[in-house]
Amino acid sequence: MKIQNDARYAKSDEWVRVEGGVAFVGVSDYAQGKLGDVVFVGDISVGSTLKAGDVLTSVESVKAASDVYTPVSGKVLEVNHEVTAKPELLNSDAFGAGWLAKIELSNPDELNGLMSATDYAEYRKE
Amino acid sequence: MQSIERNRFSFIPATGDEQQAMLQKIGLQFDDIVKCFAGNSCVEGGLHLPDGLTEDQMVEYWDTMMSRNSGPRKASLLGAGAYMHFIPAVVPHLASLPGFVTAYTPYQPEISQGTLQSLFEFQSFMVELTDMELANCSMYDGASSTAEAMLMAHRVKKADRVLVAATVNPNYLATVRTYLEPHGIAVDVVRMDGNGRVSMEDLELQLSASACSAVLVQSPNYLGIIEDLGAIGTDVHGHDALFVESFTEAMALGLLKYGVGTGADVVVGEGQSLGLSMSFGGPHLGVFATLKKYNRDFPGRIVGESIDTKGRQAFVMTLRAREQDIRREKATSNICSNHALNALTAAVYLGSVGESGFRALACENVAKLQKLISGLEATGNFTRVFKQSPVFNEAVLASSIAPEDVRSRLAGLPVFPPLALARGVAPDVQGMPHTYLVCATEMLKDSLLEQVLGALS
Amino acid sequence: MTLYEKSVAGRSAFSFGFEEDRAAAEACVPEFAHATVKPLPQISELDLVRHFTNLARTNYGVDTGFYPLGSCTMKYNPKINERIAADPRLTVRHPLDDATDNQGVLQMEFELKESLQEITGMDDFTLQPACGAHGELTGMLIIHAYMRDHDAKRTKVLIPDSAHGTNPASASMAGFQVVTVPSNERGGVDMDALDKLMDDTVAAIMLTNPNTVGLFEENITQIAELVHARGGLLYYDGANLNALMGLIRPGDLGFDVVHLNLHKTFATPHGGGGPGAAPVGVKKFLADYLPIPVVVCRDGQYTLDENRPHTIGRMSGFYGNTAVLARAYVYIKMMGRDGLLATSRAAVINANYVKALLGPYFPPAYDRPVMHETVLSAKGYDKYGVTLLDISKRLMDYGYHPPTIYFPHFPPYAEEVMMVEPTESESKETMDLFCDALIKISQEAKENPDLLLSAPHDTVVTRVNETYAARHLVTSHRDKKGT
Repeated sequence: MKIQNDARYAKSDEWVRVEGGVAFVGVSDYAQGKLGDVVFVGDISVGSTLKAGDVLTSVESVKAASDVYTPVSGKVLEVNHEVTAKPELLNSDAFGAGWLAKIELSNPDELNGLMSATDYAEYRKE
Repeated sequence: MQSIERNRFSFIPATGDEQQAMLQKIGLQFDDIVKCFAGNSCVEGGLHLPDGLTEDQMVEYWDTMMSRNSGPRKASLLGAGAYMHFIPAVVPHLASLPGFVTAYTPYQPEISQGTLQSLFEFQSFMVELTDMELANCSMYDGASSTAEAMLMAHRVKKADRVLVAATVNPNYLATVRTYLEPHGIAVDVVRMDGNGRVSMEDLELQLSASACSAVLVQSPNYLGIIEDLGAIGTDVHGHDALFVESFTEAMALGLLKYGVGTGADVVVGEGQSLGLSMSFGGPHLGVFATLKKYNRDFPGRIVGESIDTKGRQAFVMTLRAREQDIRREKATSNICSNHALNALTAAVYLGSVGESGFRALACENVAKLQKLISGLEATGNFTRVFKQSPVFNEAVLASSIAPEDVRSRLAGLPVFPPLALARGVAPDVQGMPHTYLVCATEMLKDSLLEQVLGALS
Repeated sequence: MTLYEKSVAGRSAFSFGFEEDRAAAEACVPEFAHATVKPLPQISELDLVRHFTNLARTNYGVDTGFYPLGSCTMKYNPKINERIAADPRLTVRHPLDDATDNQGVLQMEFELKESLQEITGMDDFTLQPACGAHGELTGMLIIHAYMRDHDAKRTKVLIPDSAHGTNPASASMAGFQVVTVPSNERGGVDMDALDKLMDDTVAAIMLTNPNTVGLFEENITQIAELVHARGGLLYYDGANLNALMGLIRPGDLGFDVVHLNLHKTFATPHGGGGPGAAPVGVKKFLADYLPIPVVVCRDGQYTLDENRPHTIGRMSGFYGNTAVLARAYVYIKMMGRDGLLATSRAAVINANYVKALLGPYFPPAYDRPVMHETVLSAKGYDKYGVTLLDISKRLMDYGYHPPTIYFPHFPPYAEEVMMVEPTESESKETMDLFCDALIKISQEAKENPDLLLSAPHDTVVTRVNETYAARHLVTSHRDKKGT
């Protein structure tokens, strides 16, 4: 199971990483392993305002469909069109090229309520 | 508990001795296994059903029962949602092959290529005939397909209102209402104009009144009249609703324009005319075709082409994440079983009649109806209503002859008599207070047509 | 190769005596006619016959071999049913023709209705629904309408975590909010959880009995009392009725609405996914809500009655899948009172027998006698790098259709469970041979796991790539031409 050390994690297997004042959001390597080959990533509307825990999008594999919940509140600034066109990026590079959305944080304190990389690795230890 | 010693049921191979041997291996007696029933109300003294019949007794009982139907029937002047067409011998022959009939849903593709490929071919034919981008591998029937299309439109557009043309088959409208009722979606009816078609004026009025998710128009409509789908499609898209085209007579697909060319978002309808008997109303065949942009929203199973480990062509069910076993309460529909064997039958039928055969049959239907109408008008007892409007193989005629009289005049002939319409469905005609929806297909051979005209003179 | 790929311009399989002028007909509707002939195959009759005959041979059916799909009841489809359902005196009937001309068909439907009432202990039936999910939707719409009239704040439905996916999907389609009830360690409904969840916002509980793990719901009478006492109704998913006929009836257990799967319990063929039929039975107080029309008998005359003041309306264009109903009718008439009881008894014995044979290799999910199907676990095999999917693909090499896999999904067995339902149709030898094959495969998993990972080898296609299908979506011939 790959883990990104500078990211924070939600119990529902989403990660968030702040880079240059903007939050990148995606699903963890553990989550993509459980899903299997991803075949579809649903639309996300740029400009929409979300609360932590809202449904960001849904992700589909051949045998499952999962809702992805945003771990942080804020406005969606950008959507990763590469991953919509090539959903397999979510499997191969869940923390890198497989990012889903860039969010402008409305409440940066929320990050403290999420798990650290170590805690998440413990939580998902098999 | 009762014990059954004799084994005279040919469908249960286990003898009493074998069952005893199995119970020994299990280590329990039957009464122990069903101990879990204790404390609940069990059947005492057996079900109140008669003794079972043997095969020969069953055939005799069935014969006596079937003799209580009228018959035989070689043609039908009755349409209105179910149609009598010619079924080539090769169709039931291939559709009854045990490999197709006794197979389950193709969840294990490696041993279900027969079902999967046949359904892929059905989907391919439906895409061509409806002129859409993807078709599922069947739903139950035209009415429930139509209702599911309305639910899909609601999922996509979210407005709690749909418009349905007054000229849609009344059973289809009733089914749409039943399906939409628990979701609080209003079903508003668009009026008919003086020519038996959707009133473009009322359509525009209703579309402008408030948002709606879908507009449903049937063509040929319930009165047999061909609607101007292209004009309606343009109007609907001006108002951001889904345009749902429906049909009850699949034979019309052989000749008429539907689909992308007329602005459709969904084409749904009844495929019974494609090689299936009427069978007193079922099982028939729901057709559902739509655009690729709705490929996460549509209901029903769909088969896709793929490859196996050796790169060979292989078929498999795909886009499964929409379905009930994965999505559960968030599924696009609850549909699980469909009408796969009937879809296969339709695929065989279309393969049998071929592209020119299908078009020729559709034209034969048009011509037969025209010949019947001319003949009936010539008797002086009938006149066509909505004369200006184009029809396919059904039309409304007014008559001076009452329904009971029509039935008794036709009683000696092997035809289903036409549907007597209720008063008010079509405009009144002086001296001809009764109206009928009259159908003619390729089954109405000239010799029988002459006899019908003779009886109704 | 598909039919389109085999087409040759000018070939035809069609023979018909056209009498009319085609050009004149084309001229009748010029502005609405499709400009060109829509593309369909052009193929000779022999090629058509070979095409489908060979396709049918690549399919595995009940007629081919053992088909132990749990919860599907793949029993033998008697051929006398096929002969009778193909009777032209039945197939020619137009549904809108006068009832007086259809007394034979209507008599068959009425007698079927009465038999189903007796078998289930319910008071009235609709024969309209086309399959299980359609029946569930019908039943839940009836409950929704009843609650709308009597207690509109009841907007929730309780459904066990082990339920078939159609249950929550149907409840949702009927306008309800779904609330999941957990199962206890014995595999039944957790009574404490039920006690907390069953309140005055709940309209009904949907139950399958025996449940989807093949176990009889021991507390069913208490569940019924609890739910009724708090104003709710009980819905019965009849998928597993094959275990109970002549022994116990859902109506007597307190169920208010019931659906049956004629394509399971009553031997009508599955046809590769349908058509089936799923009559829905109700207790008297709900009879007015049934979809119309309903077959009734008055003074020896059969008619289609539309006088149901609170009807939910229509679920389909006509009255149900008559040709499928006819097959079930013949099955019930030929089995009779004793045959139906013998059927359920044999089904239960067979499932327990298979459980006894396979138990040492694939531990049963629950340490209790089962009903007509058994759930067995393959969890221990992952240490050889082998999953249940691999085991099931290897079974195909032995000439069998695998059992149901990865269902139901719920703890503690999570995913690696298979559901085996032999049905009463199978002989002891068939079951012995099947179990031998599975036991052999369990050995192969330890000694030569590659055989399983690369399975199936002996089928017409090897493992089909589902990811490829989803990522390169081709669902019609037109899609192929486009790429």
